[in-house]
Amino acid sequence: MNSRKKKKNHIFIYLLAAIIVFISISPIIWIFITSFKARVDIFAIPPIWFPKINFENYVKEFTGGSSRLPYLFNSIKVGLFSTLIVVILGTFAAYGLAKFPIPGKKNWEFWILSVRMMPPVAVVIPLYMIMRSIKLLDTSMGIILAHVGFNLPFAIWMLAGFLRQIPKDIEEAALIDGCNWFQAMIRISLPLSTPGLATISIFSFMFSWNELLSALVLTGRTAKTLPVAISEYWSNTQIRWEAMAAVSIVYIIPIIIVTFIIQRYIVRGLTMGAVKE
Amino acid sequence: MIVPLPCFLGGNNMQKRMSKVGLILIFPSIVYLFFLSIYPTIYTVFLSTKDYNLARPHKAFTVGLGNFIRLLTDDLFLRSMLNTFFIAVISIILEMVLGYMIAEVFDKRLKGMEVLRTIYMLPMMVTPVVWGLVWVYIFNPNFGLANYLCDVIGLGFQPWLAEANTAIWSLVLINIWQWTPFTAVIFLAGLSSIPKDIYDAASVDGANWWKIIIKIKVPSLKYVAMVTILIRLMDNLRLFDLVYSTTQGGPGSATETMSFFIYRYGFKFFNIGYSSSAAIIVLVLIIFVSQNLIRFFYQGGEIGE
Repeated sequence: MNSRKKKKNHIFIYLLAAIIVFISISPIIWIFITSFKARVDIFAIPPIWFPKINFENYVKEFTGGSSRLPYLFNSIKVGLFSTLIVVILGTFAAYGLAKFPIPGKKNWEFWILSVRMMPPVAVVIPLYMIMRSIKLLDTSMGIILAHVGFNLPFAIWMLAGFLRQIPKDIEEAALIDGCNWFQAMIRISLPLSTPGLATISIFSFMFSWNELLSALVLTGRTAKTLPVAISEYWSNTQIRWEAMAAVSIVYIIPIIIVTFIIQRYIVRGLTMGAVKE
Repeated sequence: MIVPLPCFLGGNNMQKRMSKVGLILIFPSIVYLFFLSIYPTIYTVFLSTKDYNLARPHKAFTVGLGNFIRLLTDDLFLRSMLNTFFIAVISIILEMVLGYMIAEVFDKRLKGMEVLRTIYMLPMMVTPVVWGLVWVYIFNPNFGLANYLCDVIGLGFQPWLAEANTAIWSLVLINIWQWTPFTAVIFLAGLSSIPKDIYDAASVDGANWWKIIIKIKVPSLKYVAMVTILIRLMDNLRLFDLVYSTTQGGPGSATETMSFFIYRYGFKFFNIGYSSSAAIIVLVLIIFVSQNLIRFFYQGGEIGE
């Protein structure tokens, strides 16, 4: 009797969870459906729930004269290179903060964290002026530099947290065996904090992939990233919904994959270690 | 017996050398952050005292606090502040309540719950730009899905983003939809850190579900709740992407936010000086919030050793 009641309870919870998940992702499903629709079907009432699967919108938006493909590549380029720089600089800084007796360490940490809190909108105007004067407006280099600035504090703070969890004894043992600190870092500490490195890399890439404001301000025609290109579908008069939907789906797919890869660290990453699972 | 190693445990000299290495390690990042964050901030402060328009041929001239005085009597700016706080407060309250309830559902450890939870998180991982446009499509008064569904369940025609008094609520709705997963997964992390035998002990003592919430869950979740509120407050104070991709501040000034105001004056009207002054005000507000947040980071993050 009791187990039957329990089973009923479980079904109820599953049902509730399914409804919540459905509401949460229904807009994704809806643009997925829309991305297959022909132009005329967009305005149909009642809506067409199951259009014929054809990739015409995808083909149209990613080939030919007004192809969005270059912007996709820009986004990938900016994401990869900014992440690379963030990881290299961040690893050294985090290792320094986590393992070395730096004078005024607390103050440095506090300062790095404060930089992270800075609203992008407060620095985007001077960034624009700086990039203009060093001729980096509308180049991928310009956005890469800006994104490194936004993501580096996050990476340092997070990775220092991961590095501190490695027991000191292991590294000390390496040092006793005659490693210098650099070898100890490369051979012992970093391999042991692979989850940390993966987390900061993926988050850094994702923040860059999602960033709009600086990409919008610092680019004009050629260096646009995908979010900027997508925002350009916006117009007061008419939006090409089916095109926007197709491009958005291409944009979202990497994020879905990434979300599943780092699911264990999402809470920790988004709260910068303040909340752990 | 373990012999302490003089070569790297003791010795003032060694200590000194170690701290030197440490400084060298953090030096590149510090310099980088200085040039991409601190220097621009100082530059913004400098610009905020100027009457400087990029579209004008003649040079900038200093107006001191003039921009700030003008801002505080600028209806549009005051409106943008009001809107920003309205969106922030309503969104955060509802996100917290909904997030807690949803966390309770996902906290039941059943098979497959983790996969469902991850799928549930997807909206917050994607940039608000995409969601803004998607919701503009759903909210389209004439052929949008929202009005079709309203029609089916008998709510009738809704103007959504097209009218001043519904537009801001529509933005709140999108905001809540996208960010409730955030509060939910954080509450979930908080709930799962409560040892399960406490519940058993409480129910043996005859506590009902309400008592368990008030006496066990609320006190244990206080810390994560504060962190969530502060993070979401910071996000909302700089709300830009969503407004940019949905209403662009309209209709009229109904959904103008502080960040969008700064963007509009800086990069549509090229009034760099005025825009910088507004940016300074936002910066001061955010510093106020973030100082408290950083305190929590030191508490929770492992950095405090």
